[in-house]
Formats: sequence, structure tokens, C-alpha cells
Amino acid sequence: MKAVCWFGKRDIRVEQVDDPKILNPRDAIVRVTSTAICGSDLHLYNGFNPTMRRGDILGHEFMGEVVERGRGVRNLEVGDRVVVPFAIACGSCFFCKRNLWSLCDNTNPNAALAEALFGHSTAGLFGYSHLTGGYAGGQAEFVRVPCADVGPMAVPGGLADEQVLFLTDVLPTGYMAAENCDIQRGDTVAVWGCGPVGQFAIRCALLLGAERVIAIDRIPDRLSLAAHASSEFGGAPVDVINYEEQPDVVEILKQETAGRGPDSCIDAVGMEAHGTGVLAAYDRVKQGVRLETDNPTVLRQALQACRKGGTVSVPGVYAGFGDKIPLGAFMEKGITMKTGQTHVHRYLRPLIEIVANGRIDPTVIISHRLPLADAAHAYDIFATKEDHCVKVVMQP
Amino acid sequence: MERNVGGVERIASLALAGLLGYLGYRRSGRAMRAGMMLLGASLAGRGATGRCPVYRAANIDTSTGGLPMLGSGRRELAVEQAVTVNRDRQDLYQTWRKLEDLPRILRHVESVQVTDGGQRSHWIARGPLGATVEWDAEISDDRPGECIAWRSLPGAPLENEGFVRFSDAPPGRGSQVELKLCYRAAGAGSLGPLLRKVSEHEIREDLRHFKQWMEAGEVATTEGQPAARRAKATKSETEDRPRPRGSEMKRVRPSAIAQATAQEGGL
Repeated sequence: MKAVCWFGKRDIRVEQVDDPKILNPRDAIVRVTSTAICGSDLHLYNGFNPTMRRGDILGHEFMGEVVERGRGVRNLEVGDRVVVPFAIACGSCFFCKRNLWSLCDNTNPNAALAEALFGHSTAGLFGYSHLTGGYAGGQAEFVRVPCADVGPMAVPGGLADEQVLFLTDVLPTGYMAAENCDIQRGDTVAVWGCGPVGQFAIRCALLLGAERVIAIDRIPDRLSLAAHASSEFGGAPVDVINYEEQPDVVEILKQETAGRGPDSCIDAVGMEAHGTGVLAAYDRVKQGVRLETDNPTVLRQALQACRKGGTVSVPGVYAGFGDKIPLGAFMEKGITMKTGQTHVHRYLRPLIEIVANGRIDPTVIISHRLPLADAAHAYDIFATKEDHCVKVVMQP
Repeated sequence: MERNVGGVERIASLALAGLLGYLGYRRSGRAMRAGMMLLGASLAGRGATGRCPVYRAANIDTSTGGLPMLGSGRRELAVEQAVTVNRDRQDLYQTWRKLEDLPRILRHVESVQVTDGGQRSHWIARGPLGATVEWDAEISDDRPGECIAWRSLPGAPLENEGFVRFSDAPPGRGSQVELKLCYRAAGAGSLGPLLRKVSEHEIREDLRHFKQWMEAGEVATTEGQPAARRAKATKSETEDRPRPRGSEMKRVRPSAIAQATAQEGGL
């Protein structure tokens, strides 16, 4: 089959590889009909994860048709059309039982490696480095789906691929980011990063009753798309800050909220933040010589900007170590920070309802539709944000 | 410092020291010459005295015979590990009590044959280079749902004992499994075959696979999945082979439980 493979920093190739096989009783094989590139794939693309190996198959946002199932999979039929959560969860450990699916104890074959870095291992993820299990990803014609009796959800034929594809990651991730804010009446929510997760976080914050959203980015197209959310939610106020024009984001947020600061701050950027000023230069140097893995520019701003007793919600991916995080602001202002890889399993059913009802239209973020064979180009434009790229959907 | 270099190795050290000294002397580059002569001198010291500071730092002792192998001077191996499993401890006990199935949990054990109505058993362990060691053992303690203990019978080349204890974790956390294994080389017996397979890391993996098996019904694996690698990942990825030391990137070999899951399903 054809598959999108990682060969090194900014080196993506579509290669001919063996078809996947059932390896465990709870596996299924899915013929991929649509797959997307995630912002977090760019961390791999940009060479930020040292546990990638040449030839690894990428991709954790994918859906398709069940073509084979192991004897432990009774809930799916061959021919079912399914969306597949990006995290692999066993469904029976302490964490799965408590709805914390991305923290599953039992699905990372390289758990010892993750334990060395994080103290404990979290769930295996599709196509996301050997640190999270080294599972072959879904940017391919076929993919093996472990624990298929727990993860995949069959979707009705009435909904198009593009409407349900993002249930695999970015829509639930935006939703969990907003849910973690515990939004109360009158709340202002600031969202750093207007990529796909940020766009959904903005919409989900409005859905969950935010009074107002302020979105921060530097790409004009993405800021316009953020502002567009206002019209999707009956004219709810959505304001934008272009930090290249207005670099003092913390001060602007304070003025915009008459001194209070946003009630909740969402970091939908993570470890590869851009930024301006002295600290941003410091991070670029330290990352360059590998003294710092994660650039916490956004986290710093969020902690500084957040109102006293507010919440900082972090869907953006961090994987290592960051410097000069204002722990004083975090502690003294009594801030709550909530984060984690998304517990996609928990959101599939509620969110497919929301999509089916038309309350959120996930297709608004799609900027490019390309064949899988063009994956190298797709990664390039997504990484450089050229050609107004916000989200690429690929068809094998 | 105790003597820690074996006789044959001391002679080899002296010979190599002589060679390095000679080559260093003939070398024209000053840095190379100094380096080789310095290395030669330290080897000469090691050969003459039988005391090696590097071995001491690495806890290696080859003075008591056997191959010069990491840790082969050790006469005892003891490993203790624990894991929490989200199952009733009676279920966990039942699985461990089938001694003949233990090789599916403990990868260093090749086979266990139960005799004498379940009280005695014959064990075979196999090392990474194919060396085997065998012994007879008996159950020394057996309390359903609580613990199982076993020990080798007199005459075993490797005296050994082990126990596994099951207890309730705090409410809602399942059960705790504590495993302790101890191997002692008796007489001319050597721990060699077990060195790489009975370590904290390996036993922790064994218990992790046991947990996966008991909770998820299968052991997580990627062995046999596709990837665009030039060398076909067939033989080398599925067969039992020694893992290069220190290479965490190499995948942990799936336990026999994993293989059993894939093949037949059922401990």
C-alpha cells in the first residue's frame, strides 16, 4: 500500500510499504477514506521528537471502512464506516474506567521509554513517534487499529467524511480545551493560536456559553477565520489580536477586559511557539542548541494575562522542558491549569450530535483537499502556512 | 582495592600493554604517542596487579573465573518489582498458580514441568546465547489469593527462590502484585545465562505485560506492522535476540504472553 513516511526533518515521502495485518485479537484493519495532517504532526516534521525512526508511517487523524477484524472485535462489522480516536485505549484499566482515555495504562509498547521521560507512560498514539508506542499511522491506504472494540465509532452515511473526520482529534481537542475552562456566565476566553484546534476552541467556548472570545495569532487568514466564528454564533463578540502588529499581548488583554484579564486562557499553540522580543530570541537559541525542548512563550503570556483565580487550559502539545515559566504568577494568582492529550473517546458521541445538528460546522477549517500522493507538498504548505493553508485533508 | 581481573585477562593486558608501548614509541605524532603509551602503562598496571579501577566502577569482577562479562563476578541476583493490576487478586493468583504457564510471564524461564501433584516442578531457563540451566523446585508457601512462594531443591546449580504476593490496593485501585526473585550461583554454577534476563528492567516489563494481559486481554505490540525501512522487519523483529545494551529505542521484546495472545489466546 501507499503510506506517508517520515524520513527526517522536513523529509516526508509517500512510499510503498506492506499492508498492515491483524496482530492482536482486538485489532481491526481500516481502509482509509480520509486523513488529515494535524498541527502536532508538524512537531515531528520539524524534527522536535528524537524518537522518530526513518520510515515510520505518520498520521493520527483518519477515518475509513472496516475491512477486517480480529476475533475480539464484536461491535464492528466489516464494511462499517468509522472514525478512530487518535489515542489507543484498552477500555478496562483504572484510567479508561475513569474516562481518562488518553492516559490508558496498557497500550504503549514502549512504556519504559515514556516512563523514563515523564515518570509514567500514557496511551499509545497512532503515528506519533516511538515514545508513544511507535504505532504505524493512518496517512496511508490501510491502517491497523488496535483495541478496535473500544475506540472506533461507526458513523451514519448521512454525514460526509469531511464533517466527521475531525472527530478523531482537533474538534474534541478544541472542545476539551473549552470544557477545561469551566466557562461561567460572563466569561471572556482568550485563545492563543488560530490553527485548527484554536478555531474549534473558539467555537466550543461560544457553544459552552462564553460571553466573549479574544483570539491571538499572526496570520491574517487565520484571524479572519477566527472572527468569522462570531457570525456562526449569532453575532457573539469575537475579537482578534495580531501579535506581530500588537506585540504586548498581555497588556492588550488587560485593557480589553478593563483590567480584569481573561477569565480563561487557552494555549492552542504548544512547544513551537513563535514570539517576539528578548525572551523569544532566548528560547530560539536554547532550542537550537537543545538546552530547551519546548518554547513556552504562550504559556508565559497566558499565566501573566489570566485573571486572578482563572483557568489556563493547555491543549497545545509540550513534550519536554521549558524555561522561565512564571510560576509566581501561577501560584500567587491562584490559577488552575488543566491540560493533557484529549480523551477523544469521551467526546465522540456528544460531538457527532453537535455536528449533525449543525451547531458547529467542522468543514470551515479545511483549506486544502489533496491526494495522499501529494503529502510532501501538503506538509510543506501547512508548516510554512503558505497558500493560506489552515487544514489539509488527504484522500488515499 | 580488591583484585578483580582474572588470570588470563591479566596476561592479555600485559601483552597488549607491551604492544601499545612499542607502537606508541614508534609513532611520530606527539599526542598519539603519549596517548598510546599512557594507555599501555595503565594496562600494564592492571595486568601486573590484577586490580582495575574501571572494572571496580562498573562492578565487574573476572577474577573468580568465567568469561569477562559484565557482572559475571556476581554470585547473586535479586530483583524485586511491583505492579498494580485492575483485577481481583483471586484472578491474579489463579494465573500465577499455573506454574507450567509461568514462562508466559517470566521471559527468562523457558519451561516449567509440574510433578508430584503440583508441589514439585522442573524448571529450565535459557540465556540470550542459548545456554540453559535446569533445576528442580518445590512450592514452599501457597495461600490462595495471597501468595505463592517457591524455592529450588538441594543440588541445583543455581539456588533460587521466588515469591509473588497479592494484596488489595486502596479502594477502586485493583490489586497489588509484588514479585521477588533471587538466584545464587552454587558451586561451579554461573549466573551467566540469567544476567541480561533477570534485571529490574526486564522483570518490570514482564509484570507490565502481565498487567496488560489481565486488564486488556492482550499485550500491546507493533511487531509485524508496516514501515518503510530498507531492511525487511521480519526475522530480526520477531525472534528472540539479545537487545543491544543501552538502546532504549529498540522495542522491548514482547513476552511469551504476547505471542500466546497472538497465536491462541488464553493463558
